[in-house]
Amino acid sequence: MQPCDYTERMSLSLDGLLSESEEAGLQAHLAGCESCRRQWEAMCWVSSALRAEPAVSPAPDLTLRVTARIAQREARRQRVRGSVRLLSGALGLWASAGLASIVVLLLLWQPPWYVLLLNVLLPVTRVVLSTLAVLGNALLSVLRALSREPLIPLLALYAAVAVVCTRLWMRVVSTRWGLAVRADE
Amino acid sequence: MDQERLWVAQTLRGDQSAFARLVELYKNPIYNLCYRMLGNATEAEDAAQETFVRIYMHLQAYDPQKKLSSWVLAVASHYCVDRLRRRRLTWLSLDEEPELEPPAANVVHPEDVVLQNESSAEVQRWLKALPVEYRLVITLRYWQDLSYAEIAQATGASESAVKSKLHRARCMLAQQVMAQGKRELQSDCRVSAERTVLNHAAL
Repeated sequence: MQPCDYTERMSLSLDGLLSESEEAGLQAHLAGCESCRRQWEAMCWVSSALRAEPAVSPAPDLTLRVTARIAQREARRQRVRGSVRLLSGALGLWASAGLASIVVLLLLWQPPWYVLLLNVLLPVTRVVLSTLAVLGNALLSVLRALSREPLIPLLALYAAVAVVCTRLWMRVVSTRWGLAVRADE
Repeated sequence: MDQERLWVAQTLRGDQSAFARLVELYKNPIYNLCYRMLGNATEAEDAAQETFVRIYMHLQAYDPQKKLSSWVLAVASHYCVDRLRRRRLTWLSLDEEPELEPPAANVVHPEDVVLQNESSAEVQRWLKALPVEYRLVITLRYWQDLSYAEIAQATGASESAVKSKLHRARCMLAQQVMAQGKRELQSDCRVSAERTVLNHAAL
């Protein structure tokens, strides 16, 4: 026989959140319902077992370890920040140097501006466009070849199986031979 | 409370020793929460450390108008839940979840140690069988002694959701106990059963 819908009230009773009348109603029901009484007894038992379970303590040097980990993390963050600053500084310098060169070139340039446009910008644009066209063509031909190949699904399946097997093997190696890598790192 | 706020302010100004005091203050509840959630002392230690690192890194996000303990427990709760989800997502794992590894118990006699370890292992087994969200509310209720409102704040759920989760978690735990056919159940709950009958008679 299934318990009646008194279980929520039992839970609230365990937390002392029932009013006197609600508590009395629950007790009256429990006195007459064997199934609910068994459920209530089990809930009481679990509740008292949980309350009796002592709090556990961490190792005494936890604070030191936390401080060390924070210092390590801060150092890493500093390194990353330093690298970003270095990179952005270098890029800025290069950009400034490039800009300065263009300004100097323009100052020294004698012919009219459209000659500069024709002689410098157009060839650069042409090179960029032709490179993009070559890359696009290459990608298209690869895709075309792949779509014509009937063994593609088989190859994809093979690749997936290979990845799964490799991952499994890595897991076996790392867990069995103590080379565990933490999931969150 | 004011002391805590002072330590938070000092930490935000870069005072590491103030943060060390905060760690000292909260290391037991945080470690306890991590241990109950993850069920493994080594992992709990690592999770507790990582929680404190997160607290340190995101301390500027803490609203001083709210209780620090609730915020700290919320950070720990979210971290443990994330960690358990990640653990579940490692679907290629060949091994079961790590075996229970009880932390050092504060008992003296060897027989007490054995009994305590057995009881602790059993409690951890019950918790492990619960869904993560239920495990969290049970842990916050029984080991952190939080009210429904505080649990709601720590978990980001509504109070009615907390009430419902606690109720379901308790039902599931009771089912486990009944399935195990605990003999002690009869004797331990005799008091409550007698109280029930007496109360009914008094009515």
